[in-house]
Amino acid sequence: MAMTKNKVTGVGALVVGVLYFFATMNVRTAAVSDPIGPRFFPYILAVCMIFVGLLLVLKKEEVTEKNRAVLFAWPADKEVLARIVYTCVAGFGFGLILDSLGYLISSVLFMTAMMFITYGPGRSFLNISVGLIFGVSTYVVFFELLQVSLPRGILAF
Amino acid sequence: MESILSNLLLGFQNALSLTNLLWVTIGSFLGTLFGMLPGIGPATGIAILIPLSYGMDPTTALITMCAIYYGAMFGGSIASIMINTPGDASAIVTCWDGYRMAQKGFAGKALATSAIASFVGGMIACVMVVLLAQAAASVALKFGPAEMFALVLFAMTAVVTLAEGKLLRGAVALLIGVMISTIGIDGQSGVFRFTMGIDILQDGIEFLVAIIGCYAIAEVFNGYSELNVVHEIDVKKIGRVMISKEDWKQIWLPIVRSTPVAFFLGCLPGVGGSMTSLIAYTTERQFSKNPEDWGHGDIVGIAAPEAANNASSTASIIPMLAIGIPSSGTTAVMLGALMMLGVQPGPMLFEMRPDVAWGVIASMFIGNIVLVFMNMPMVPYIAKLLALPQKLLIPIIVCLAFMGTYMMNYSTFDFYLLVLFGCLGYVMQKLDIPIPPMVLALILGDTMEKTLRQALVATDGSPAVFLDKPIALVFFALAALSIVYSLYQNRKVERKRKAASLETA
Amino acid sequence: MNKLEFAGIALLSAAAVFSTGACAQEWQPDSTIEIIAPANPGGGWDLTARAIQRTLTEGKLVKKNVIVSNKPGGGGATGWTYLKGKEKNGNFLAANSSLLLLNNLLGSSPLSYKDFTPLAMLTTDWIGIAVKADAPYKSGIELLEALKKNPGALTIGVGPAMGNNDHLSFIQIARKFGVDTSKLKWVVYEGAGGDILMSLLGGHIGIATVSVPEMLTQHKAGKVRILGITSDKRMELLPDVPTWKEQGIDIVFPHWRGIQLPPGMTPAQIAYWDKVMAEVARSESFKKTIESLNGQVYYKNSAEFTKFLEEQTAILGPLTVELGLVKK
Repeated sequence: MAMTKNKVTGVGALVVGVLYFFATMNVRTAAVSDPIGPRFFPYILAVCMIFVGLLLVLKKEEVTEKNRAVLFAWPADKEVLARIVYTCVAGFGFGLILDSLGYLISSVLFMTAMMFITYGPGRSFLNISVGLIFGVSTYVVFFELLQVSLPRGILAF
Repeated sequence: MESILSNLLLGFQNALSLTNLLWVTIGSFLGTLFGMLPGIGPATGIAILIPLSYGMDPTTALITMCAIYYGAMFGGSIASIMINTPGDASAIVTCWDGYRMAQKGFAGKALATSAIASFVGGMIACVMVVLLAQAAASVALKFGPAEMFALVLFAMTAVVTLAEGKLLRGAVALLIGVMISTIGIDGQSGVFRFTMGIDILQDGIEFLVAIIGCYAIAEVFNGYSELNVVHEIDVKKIGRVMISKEDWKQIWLPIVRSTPVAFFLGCLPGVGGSMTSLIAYTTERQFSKNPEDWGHGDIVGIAAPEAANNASSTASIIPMLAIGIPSSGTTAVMLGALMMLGVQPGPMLFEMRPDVAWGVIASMFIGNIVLVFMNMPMVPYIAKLLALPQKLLIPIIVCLAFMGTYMMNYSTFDFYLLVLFGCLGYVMQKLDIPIPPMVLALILGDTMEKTLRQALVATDGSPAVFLDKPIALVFFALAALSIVYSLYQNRKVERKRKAASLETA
Repeated sequence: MNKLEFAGIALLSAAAVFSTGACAQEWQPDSTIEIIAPANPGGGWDLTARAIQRTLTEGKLVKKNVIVSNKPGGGGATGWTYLKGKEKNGNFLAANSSLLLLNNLLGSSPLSYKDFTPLAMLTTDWIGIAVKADAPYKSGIELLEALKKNPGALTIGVGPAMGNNDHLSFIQIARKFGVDTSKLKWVVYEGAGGDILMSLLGGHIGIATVSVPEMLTQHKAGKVRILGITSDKRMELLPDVPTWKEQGIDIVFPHWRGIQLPPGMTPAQIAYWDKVMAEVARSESFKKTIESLNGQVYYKNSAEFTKFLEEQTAILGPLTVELGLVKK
């Protein structure tokens, strides 16, 4: 069975459908509720998902020369995947430090990190300065001018 | 008719004071600026600027808020076109053709179309407000849970028609969207669903976070594979803001067609720019002579939804003014701000303070005009921003996306969701699963389940409740037609594709 | 005792007197004051917090800057959790309401009023039960009679969730009259209060139990009829609407909003804020702002407020368990 996009999606759909079905079974029912209840709708969704997943997996497809596009493939360039992973890590990191370090510091760090991802480690000066400029200017505009509440973190102001 | 005109003139007199005009301009500008930030829509914009309104006269305050509202909508469109990130839910549809057009180098034209379509749609809607304010309000009342369910069902089936040729994968996307929308507290029973022990998920997943993740972040991931490719961007072409005569011929009718429908839908509580722009898009696509071009930068694909969402946002102010009941988050904020200023919107508003009521309506006209004249000259400069190197744009976009997300709910948990949805969006693109059905299902799924259950309470769960509701039945029929049509279209496209691959084999 | 020793003792005593004097010195906020509204802008908590901010700033009642920060989520939990983390820091306050009690009683949140220092109750709304103007029920008693005969006769709109004030007060009133509340048909509206009103006006639900400010304009315009309100005496704004007490059902149910401090406050800090809040409650501008929102100023200081919370917990706790609303 070739790894076509349809098949991969189908398998994914089956997995999601089954998981969702089991999760729905764990949903509590309340004493005071409407006649349908909280599980009815999710059950229908799960069944539909499984049904669609089956249709996709069992669909007849021929992979011809012209048809290559239906095959599923990751991007060949490892560097692209690396960049994606770094971005995810940076995003998570931003979330972790924002409340404790405050907006100003976190945003400068995050912006700098992003710049490093796109421009690469060779241009440290550019990366850091853009990070600083961006962080400080957005801070000034939003916090001072517009009184939007941003976390202060460890800074006194 | 005469009294309407004289009231309107009174309104214009009120609105056209120098202070008011100044504030309209400031409001439009600030609104546009905020609207451009991913995730910050009119509601947040107005909320941030409430403190400014403390000292103001109520008419001025309301005028400023309207200006911010319109400005934010235009700002949202700018973001959709430039960076494929809707500023708020009503700008999602603009992404589809707007961004593609910008990618082809016609950012200026896309922006101009958006501005002009919004303007025309907004003006027509304003006229309709003047003539129909009271009547429209009473139509809105006819929509109870049963009718809303039927309407949303129709919108969902309209979404499916967009997944031509990949109906099954489109269905998967749709189902994922609805499943995600079920996460959180179930309103009707108070039970938690699928929260996996994480407290923050009690409120569910904010659809805007999912959208920014799937569109902006995923697009950034895509961009990583082309980071070192230098794009030949004709800077002059981007900045060209003119709409040619042929363009205008193409778009004027769709605009005029989409506006009235969007207007009426906009009066309904809970119907926002996202639904109306979607319905306008899918409807006009079926009228179009070249539906295959849609999704790839067709100009009508920008004009129709833009006109629709301006029309519906103009209309949504009506229930707030005329009945005193807000029909959306934004109008709720406006209502609160007005009440703090001592104005009591509602049926009595038109009688007791016609100066405020008509002043608002007049200011909607003015706001619309100011927006176009102020923003059009800015368009070439905004468009030229695209000429910045990708390597610089990407960090800026990502940071703005995160910031905008934070300002929605002040929750860092949303950052994790952003990353997750970014990955999901990327994977979906690689699998050629269409994203629009998922996104729209996310927005509408919640409402769909809610209204169904609300409608069924009266009859203890029996579907018979729909039998004596003509409006609901009409929408059910439309939904059925929609499904039949999309199955037929899907068959056609698949057959074409097979023929093409066999032909040259 | 020689002169030197006397001088030494005098000096020591003076020092002692001065230092105790310094301890008894009043506490003042030492940095920007942050009032947390645990909800999105435009909602009840947000408007209350902003009203307080406005009064403090315009009346120059405090020396530092006052800002309002929005921390929506979890029915207040996000904002309150944030406040809890500011233990011993008297520069932070948060708006609260009976939701603090109810979330805890219903099992949705581990936070209770005991995790904070209740500071003051400031405003209250009352809750009304209304029908459409053309409905055949002219009085609250008539409506309750109909429900007693057939509890499922009319659908009742409530929001944003079951187990809130509007819901519980309705049940208390209905029960007092002898209605079998387990058979009532509830339709839950999660959005802004406007949805319930629109549904009522459109005839899609039969009854609405909603706070009075949200129904005021409609009642005055003659579109809905409020049959009873949960206050102890008639409201000035609604002279023609009887209270439930008047109609023979002795239920008084305030929909109150107040303000609280983080845990671990010293007596000096509480004393300071008690003084300031009392001034806020007395001020004309606060009264005007609250009344423009159709609310009523209703003040209890921190000691009275704490006692009130204890009493309310004792009443509402068993009720929620009995109604089967408690999540396990």
